[in-house]
Amino acid sequence: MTTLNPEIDTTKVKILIVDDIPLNVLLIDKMLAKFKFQTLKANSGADALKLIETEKPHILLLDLMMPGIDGYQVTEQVRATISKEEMPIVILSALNANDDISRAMALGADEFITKPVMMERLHNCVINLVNKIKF
Amino acid sequence: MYILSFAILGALTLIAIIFVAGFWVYKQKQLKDKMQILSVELLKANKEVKAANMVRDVFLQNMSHQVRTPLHAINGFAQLLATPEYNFSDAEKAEFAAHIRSNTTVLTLLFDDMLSVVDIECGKFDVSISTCKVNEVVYETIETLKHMVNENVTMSFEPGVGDDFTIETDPHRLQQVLMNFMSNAIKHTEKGFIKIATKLSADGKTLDFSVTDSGNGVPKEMADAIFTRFKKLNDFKLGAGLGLSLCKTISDKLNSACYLDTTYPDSNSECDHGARFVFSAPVVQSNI
Repeated sequence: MTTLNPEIDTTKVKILIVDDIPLNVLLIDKMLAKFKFQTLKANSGADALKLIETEKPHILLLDLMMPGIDGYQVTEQVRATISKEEMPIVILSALNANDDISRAMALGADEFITKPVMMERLHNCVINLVNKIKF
Repeated sequence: MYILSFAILGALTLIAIIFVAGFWVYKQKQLKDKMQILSVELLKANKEVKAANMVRDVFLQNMSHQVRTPLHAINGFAQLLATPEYNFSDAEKAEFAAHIRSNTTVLTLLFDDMLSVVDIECGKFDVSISTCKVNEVVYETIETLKHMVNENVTMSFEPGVGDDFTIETDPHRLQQVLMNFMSNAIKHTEKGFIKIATKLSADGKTLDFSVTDSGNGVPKEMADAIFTRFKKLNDFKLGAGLGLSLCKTISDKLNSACYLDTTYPDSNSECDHGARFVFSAPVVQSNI
């Protein structure tokens, strides 16, 4: 288990969770509850892009298959202006074909976690990214 | 005379050569035509195999997504419940358990439909006719699915026959049809109502099971297409696109009819949107 840098004030860490199924957003939010991060929530790619602009989250947890602007498009649009160092993108998707993973990574995603998400894998991934945040 | 014999022999030889050459050319052309036909057939077969492989790949990828999505919720909330350090309240724990239950139902319906489709493909899809109390089947189906209904939606049943009313049908298959109708209505209705009803025809020869909702509805021009395999109105809603095609197969096996009521909604309807699906079963035997 990766450990969180104790010097980090987790209440200042903003994590945006994006999924068109509200239940999935709730689940990921609950999985991260113990760290006391500031979690922001969006149920569409369009809402996610607005929140990214206004709230400037530190980490983006993003679903791929969404109506309207999907996760691939969000990744592509985000990477046009925001670097990986500024805001890493973790894909959480039920898609698991190599083509899907390669496409998301090529567009600028940092990690790809396949649903069903294992809590420990999510924790390790998020903690690693949080530890790298420069406040 | 000698010259004439030579001339005749020469002519005969020439005719023989021309005949043999002609025959050879004819055979070559026949062979070429055959090769061309074979080549076209081979190309067609190759295209068909490629198309079948593509359908299979899309189906498998879609199925993987359809299975993983409810599994994500089941597995995730189970992990939360199994982690004591989280100290969730009793209300939260009850909520998580409800999510596990409803997603388990989604998964069970999906597997039931998938296994039925496999049986159809293997020619092993059977029906088993017995005496069936229709209201009992409807109540059981509602009981199985009611926890999945959106909180802004009321689900009700208006029985058109008494609790002792029976028909000769396959109760399991009838329930499979009703499960599909109701789970579709639940998926597509975010507020309003879902009404299940049974209605005996005026001549008493058929019993209609209908599921009416106030959801987004189905375009009339899609009334037949939605009963074909893999056809979905909304790719982002859960479901493999197998359910309604399965309902159609079941209705054929049970000498029944299964359709979208395109006259709904009409001017007398409670709202101007929504869909009504009907399963019309013959009343072979009843105690009416």
